[in-house]
Amino acid sequence: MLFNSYSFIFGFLPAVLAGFYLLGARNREWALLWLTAASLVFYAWWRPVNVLLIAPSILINFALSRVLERTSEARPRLARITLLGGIAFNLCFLGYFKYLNFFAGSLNDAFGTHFVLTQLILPLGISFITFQKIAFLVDVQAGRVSRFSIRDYALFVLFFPQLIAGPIVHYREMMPQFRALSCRYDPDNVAVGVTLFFFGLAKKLLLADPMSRLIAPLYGQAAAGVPQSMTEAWIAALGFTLQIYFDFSGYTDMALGLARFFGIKLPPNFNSPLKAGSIIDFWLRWHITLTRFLTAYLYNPMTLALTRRRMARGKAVYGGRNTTIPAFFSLLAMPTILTMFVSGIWHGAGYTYILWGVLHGLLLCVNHAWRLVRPRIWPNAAVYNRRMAPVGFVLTFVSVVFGMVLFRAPTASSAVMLWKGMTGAYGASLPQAVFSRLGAAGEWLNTIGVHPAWTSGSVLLEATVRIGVLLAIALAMPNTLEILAPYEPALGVKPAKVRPLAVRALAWTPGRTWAIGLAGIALAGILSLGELSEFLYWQF
Amino acid sequence: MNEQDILTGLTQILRDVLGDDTIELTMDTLRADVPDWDSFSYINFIVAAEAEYGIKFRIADVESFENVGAVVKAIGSARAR
Amino acid sequence: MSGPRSFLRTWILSLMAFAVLVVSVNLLADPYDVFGTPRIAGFNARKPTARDHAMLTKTYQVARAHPATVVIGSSPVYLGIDAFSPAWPAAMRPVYNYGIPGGYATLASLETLREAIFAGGVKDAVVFLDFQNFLVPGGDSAAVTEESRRFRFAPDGSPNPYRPRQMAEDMFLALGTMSALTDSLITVARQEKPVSLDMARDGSATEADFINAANADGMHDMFAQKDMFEAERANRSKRAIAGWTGPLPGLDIVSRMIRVAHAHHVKLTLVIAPHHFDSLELYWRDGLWPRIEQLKTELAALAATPDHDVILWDFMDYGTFTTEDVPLVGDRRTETHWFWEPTHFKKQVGSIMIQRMFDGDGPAFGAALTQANVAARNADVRTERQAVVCGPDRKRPLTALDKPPGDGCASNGVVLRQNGPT
Repeated sequence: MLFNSYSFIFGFLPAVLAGFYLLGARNREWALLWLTAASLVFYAWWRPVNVLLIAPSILINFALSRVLERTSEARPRLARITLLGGIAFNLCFLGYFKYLNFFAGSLNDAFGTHFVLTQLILPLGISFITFQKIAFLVDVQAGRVSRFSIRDYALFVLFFPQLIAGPIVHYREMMPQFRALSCRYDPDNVAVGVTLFFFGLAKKLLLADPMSRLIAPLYGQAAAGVPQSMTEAWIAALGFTLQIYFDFSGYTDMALGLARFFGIKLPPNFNSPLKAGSIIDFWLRWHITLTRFLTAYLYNPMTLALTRRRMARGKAVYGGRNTTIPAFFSLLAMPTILTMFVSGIWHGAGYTYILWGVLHGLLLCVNHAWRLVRPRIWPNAAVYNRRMAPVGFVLTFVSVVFGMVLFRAPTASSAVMLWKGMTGAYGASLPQAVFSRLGAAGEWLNTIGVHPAWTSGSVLLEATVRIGVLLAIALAMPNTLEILAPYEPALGVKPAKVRPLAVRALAWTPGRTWAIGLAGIALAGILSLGELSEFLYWQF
Repeated sequence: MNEQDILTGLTQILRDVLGDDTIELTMDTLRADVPDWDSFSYINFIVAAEAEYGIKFRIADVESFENVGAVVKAIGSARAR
Repeated sequence: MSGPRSFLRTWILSLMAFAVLVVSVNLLADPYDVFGTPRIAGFNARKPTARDHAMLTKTYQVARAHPATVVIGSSPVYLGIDAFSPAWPAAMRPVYNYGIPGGYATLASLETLREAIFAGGVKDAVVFLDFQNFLVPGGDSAAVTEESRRFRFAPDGSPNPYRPRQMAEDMFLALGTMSALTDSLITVARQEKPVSLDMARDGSATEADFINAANADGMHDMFAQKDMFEAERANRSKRAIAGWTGPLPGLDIVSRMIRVAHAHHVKLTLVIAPHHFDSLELYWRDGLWPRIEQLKTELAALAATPDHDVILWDFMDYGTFTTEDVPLVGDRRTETHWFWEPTHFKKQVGSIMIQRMFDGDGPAFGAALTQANVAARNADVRTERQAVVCGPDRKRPLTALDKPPGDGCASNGVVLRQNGPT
């Protein structure tokens, strides 16, 4: 069941909420059990067998965490082994369902072997759930989590708002909230929840999906080996960047809103990433909880261990002005690229995802290297930040857009083909109809290498307008977190001390204007439920 | 070595890590208060501090320091042991 | 009342009010003519967005139209045949244009023919056949399409069990979706434009798309662009049909048309639709001409089924109406008289064909084909072509399509035979 479906919005959600509030008025334990059961139903909706796969995994993880809880102080060695075993179990579970075919296929390609590829069922949301379970085990072993029951744990893993497209939550930020829930109808929470949910629905259905329909043929052609001119290639790249931007942003808002109906605040996961001024900044705004997870559980331990080892050998370590090139490579570049490699393969079992991850790893390294070098050639940080901010923004934006081609293109070769198109390898073209209308300007365009083509002028116009509007929204408008900041739309979000004019102008209040405006937005979303929609997260 | 000395030392370390000599830290400073002090440079700051003071943080502690004051206190207690 | 409570109340009330408003607008504007809401001039009389939902619109329209004659086919019928043309004999009226634009295969024509005939009252059916649809082996599958769920009748003439559900979906689509609302607003906004798309109650459409494109880009560009598409399509067809022996694919569907018409005492007129010179030459140069002749021969044999009231007309020739010159590149003013582009004839040509077929009158154009005359007709068309292509004018198609097997003219102007598919 998708959030953007009639059955969810008019069937499942009202039923679950009604049951939750009614039970909560009598007994909050029942209400929480109801919520867990509803989440299981949500999980089973698409394929009931999903439950059979996920239930044992929950039980095993719970048992392991019990062992960890008992042994972490008393028998640290045993706890360590249990933890590693638990991590390995979860990774194997994920690996079996998500990556087996990919690896077998790769081996077949590389060595001519004949492993049989089977049609495996990919349990919904498995990638998110796996990371959450690993984080939970680590937290238990570190003593950051205590006092938990199987009911708590199941609710934490299965809580349906976060199940499809994140965020990746930590037990220690969720469970205190669940413990403090009144489980009653609370108009404050519902008002914020309704706003977030329908913002998200509108983003997904009105902004992302039409773009997806517009650019799909371009990627289809690229996959078929048809070279795309500069115009088409950039439409494909920008279009997909904006599609996934609003798709993810929309799903994130819907998740925040759904959780808020129950009184739960999920952590922020998406914060206007296209406004980022550097690639590091991008990753602190795009899929925030994934960056948080990978940094805390992969990058930091790796860097700490490597740094300590180098120190023990008396070699220079990474850090500031005295960083040596070997230290940079072994303590920053290597862990960063490895982390982003993992991020890439986490996003999908395919070469293009791996390449995408590694590309971002390289970009992050360049960003870090520049941070080391910059003070030597441009010591005044304040002036640098002021003058170079636009340059940083443009570089980041272009890098992200180039990277997104890998994310969407069906094969690496079609991605390369689109990159070549973007850089002008196949020339630039405009529809004949546009040329006919330009007159002398058209002739001038022809002299600089833009040639006419029999492509549709109206499609180009629609693409240009859509890309322009979506870019303007992504770059110039305040985001949901800002508009709703005084009501803590996501966990820990607070209003900025200085609020720009646009934020103040659009600031959400539970007043009549926003009620009517939101009704319009909600209806537009609901009316669009029947249109063709693309679900991007089967892979996760 | 008192907390003020450690704070001064950490300030210098962070200035080195971020390449920004204008940084001033207090016990209440949060990571979000310092421009560019993201999670990537945070770990660099932590290992630089470990090297400077000859101590070793627990990875779980590294994740849960609330503010600069918490780091200062952790260094102080580690050195006291 | 506290803030959030009144917020939620205002929200839900506004939401419902907006929803009622949207449904009313869609019902009144009726952009797809699903409900048959009265057409009010200046408000919803024209249906500029119905074209993109032609199957939907026309299946509901035909149920209300009670025509004596239906015209079946794809976009050439949809655009080129005027159900209200004065050329229709009085006995054949009212006429309904059941032409469906978009890449539908012959099977869709069979289905729409059945739908119109099963309803009763139809005495004449005119079916335009698209030559290229007979070049795609396996192109017509028997699967239940979304469109066929909507028909009132199943293929055996019984009530269609899928229809109630499909109708509910259609009502919902036409009342409660963003596309319907957008199309309603477009409908109301585009009424006053001098040339706007429309789909009349009798299924006829205006040629607004072509008129606007011609005004903006000129006829040359329209031909040039469509020539490219046709060249690609002909090339695909050529590869698909290569090595095919026996009757052309899709002919069995025509037999079924003949049977269903006969069973319901409907007079059936099959029409091989005219193409412009550019398109004809394209087929010639792709070596498809023998296939055209094969189609004509095989259709003539089908039409000769004893006791069946079937007439076959062939307009695929090199006559006055199909060989007019296309304006030169850069000329955006000159208009063509008979064709919008190589595969779509203008309404004037549609009316002349109606006159030729049903009035026994009109200028020389096309011929009624029988088994007796088809061989001679095929030879005649070759002679016509020779005169046009190899004669003193040496007429050439717009697009540079000179590739083997060439134009078929010997250097001394004698036409070469094109015998088998190459």
